[in-house]
Amino acid sequence: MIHRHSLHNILTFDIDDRRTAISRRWSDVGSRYRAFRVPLRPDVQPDLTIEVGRFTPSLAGCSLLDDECYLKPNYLYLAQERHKLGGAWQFDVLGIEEERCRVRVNANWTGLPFVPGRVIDFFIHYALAKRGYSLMHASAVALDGLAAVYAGRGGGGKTTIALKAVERGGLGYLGDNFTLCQRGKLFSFTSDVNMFAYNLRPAVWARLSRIERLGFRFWLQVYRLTRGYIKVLTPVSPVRLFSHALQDSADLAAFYSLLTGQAFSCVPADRDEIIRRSVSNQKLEFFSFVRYTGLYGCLYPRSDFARHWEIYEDLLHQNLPDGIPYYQLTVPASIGPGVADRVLDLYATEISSLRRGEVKA
Amino acid sequence: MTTWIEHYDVHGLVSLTVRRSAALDPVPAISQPFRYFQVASLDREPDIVLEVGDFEPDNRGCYLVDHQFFVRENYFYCEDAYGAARWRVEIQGFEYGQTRVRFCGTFRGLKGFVAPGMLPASLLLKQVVGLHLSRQGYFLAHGAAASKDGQAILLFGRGGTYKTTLLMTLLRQDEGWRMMGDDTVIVGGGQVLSFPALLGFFAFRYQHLPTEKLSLLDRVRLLFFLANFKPTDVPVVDRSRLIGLVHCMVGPGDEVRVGEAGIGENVVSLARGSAVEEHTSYNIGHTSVFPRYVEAYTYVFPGNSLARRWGDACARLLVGAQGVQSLVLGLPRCPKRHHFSEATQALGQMALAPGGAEGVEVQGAPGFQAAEAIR
Repeated sequence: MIHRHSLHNILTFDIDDRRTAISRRWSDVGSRYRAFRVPLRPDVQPDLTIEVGRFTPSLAGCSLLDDECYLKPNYLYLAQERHKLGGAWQFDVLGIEEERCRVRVNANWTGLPFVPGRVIDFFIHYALAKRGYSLMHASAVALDGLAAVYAGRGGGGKTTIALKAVERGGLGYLGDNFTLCQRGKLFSFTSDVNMFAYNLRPAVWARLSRIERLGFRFWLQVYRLTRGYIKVLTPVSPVRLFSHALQDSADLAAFYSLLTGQAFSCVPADRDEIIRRSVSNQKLEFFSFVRYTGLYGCLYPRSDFARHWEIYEDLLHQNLPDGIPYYQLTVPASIGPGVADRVLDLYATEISSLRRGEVKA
Repeated sequence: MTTWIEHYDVHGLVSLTVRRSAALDPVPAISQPFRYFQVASLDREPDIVLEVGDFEPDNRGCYLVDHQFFVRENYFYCEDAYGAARWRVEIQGFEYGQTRVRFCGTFRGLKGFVAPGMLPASLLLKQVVGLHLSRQGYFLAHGAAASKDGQAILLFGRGGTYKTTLLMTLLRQDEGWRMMGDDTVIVGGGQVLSFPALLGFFAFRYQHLPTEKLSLLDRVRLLFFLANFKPTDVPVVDRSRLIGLVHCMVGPGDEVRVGEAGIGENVVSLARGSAVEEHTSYNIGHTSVFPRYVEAYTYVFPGNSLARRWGDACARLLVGAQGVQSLVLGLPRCPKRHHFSEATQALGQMALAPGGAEGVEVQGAPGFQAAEAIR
């Protein structure tokens, strides 16, 4: 089953799930990108193809590194990547240095749920970077066509802020986990919102189906019983939750970099430092790829894939404008709706002072 | 409560004290990988103190990253788990000053039974020593080094590229070659300094096995061997001038291939490979434990010196690399004994011809994109 996806006509990618209907039922790898689905036109080539299911790696002419990583120019094959509960997957990439690339990925049943976050998301990020766009691990909201970015690590409050913005009304939603930026313009990234106990809002809960609520409660109990070892998030489509608040794009007006600390504070920050932190954020998000780019770099040190994180940093310098304010926003651990409200108030004040400034000028 | 204390001095560059509250292991050669550097006492304050045993972290005023990592300036704490291992670790003096690591962990299963104390050494110790070496302008290179007449060649490459077997073959030729380290060595100022971590593992392979690969039976024999092993059993050269960098690869093709490589190319590959090596913990595998801690710290303090250390190492190496010969050495995927002797012949000629690579067989070597990319 092939699904075609388009990200604002910037990137077209296909997810070609070649597994049986039963295994697709168990874990629908492509479902979190359903908001991007477009009709399949066979005459148009996708920029990125992701094939899910068994595949035969092309090992001819490869060098072998660490007994598990096969490399040749333009090609990477990871024979075994493991995670919790015996979850394992393997993938290869054809045309890693080219404009269009093809990723083939296969996983066992406990490994499958990790495939989108650990493999597919990275290649979307990578393909976007090739085209001059920076995907950032951040949520974004818009007010009057001007957007604020909230970049942070897990537990930093990205989702809580974005959902609170929708709940307040009057603010547009551009993404809760990723957002896309090019030369000061933000584009939405409306993949599924991952719900868990700490970011669940009543408005979201009200819209969940009975099955989803049951699943949510079940996985929460599993999380508690295993003392946090098994953590299954419930994906919910933002299109279903709040289609009225979805916004396609906006101009970037303020960048908030989130840190989880003790007391609430918001202080101006240095742009270069924020950019370095954003690179670090992205690396932590796709940490296994820090190793893969390193491995590829052992053989082909000057290739784009090996230099990917440097290229990503340069790209952020191009895409994040110089003239906007950058803030370091420290929020307490377990950020609640009250703090999210304060954060959004700060942005509303920022925008109104910006408007006043424009009027004066 | 009894405490066991060990002191180590790495070439006068980095000193280390380990305190354990738990009983010693049945096979200390595994839990104490740096026994080669062990000394009776230190004449100065140790640069690194590792305390193994239960502790209360002092993680007040920290930023929290990913629900897991506690970070404040020069400080790191987390609880972590991987496979059969579970641990808590606190690092004071992460970026500057004396580094105090407190570690409390358990390792279930056979490995934990054989060497219960190996966890901190495996996950952190080498990396923390590496941090201190980079503060001094040196770096912990992932590679095997052999020395002859005060001149060292460094064989580097990712895991499974037969660096150790090549080193063993060189030593067995008995033409004056001595080992400096089979997995890590210290590089800096145009010199190579020995770093024979887990020397017993190498000694066993060298004395008993044709190649570095261990069968199940070999592993059992290894345990008995290690129980009686003294680090003084293997002659090690401590300091030599770096004259050759050899990038080892496995595949493509079925023959041994030796080609010239750009020195810049090899230096970058060495630094990248050594950085990737930090993602690997011996006995546990590719866990990316320590690099993730550094990255979490970097997220909070983006301008810190830890984040820059590989770039710095690379730049320093390039400065000191004038006149160093630079080769790429490709072995077939399943090499036979004659492949190794063929390869070591080329390495031997390298030492004979300092300052130039004459005498070394240079082939067209298709497939060596590493060497080509620089042109």
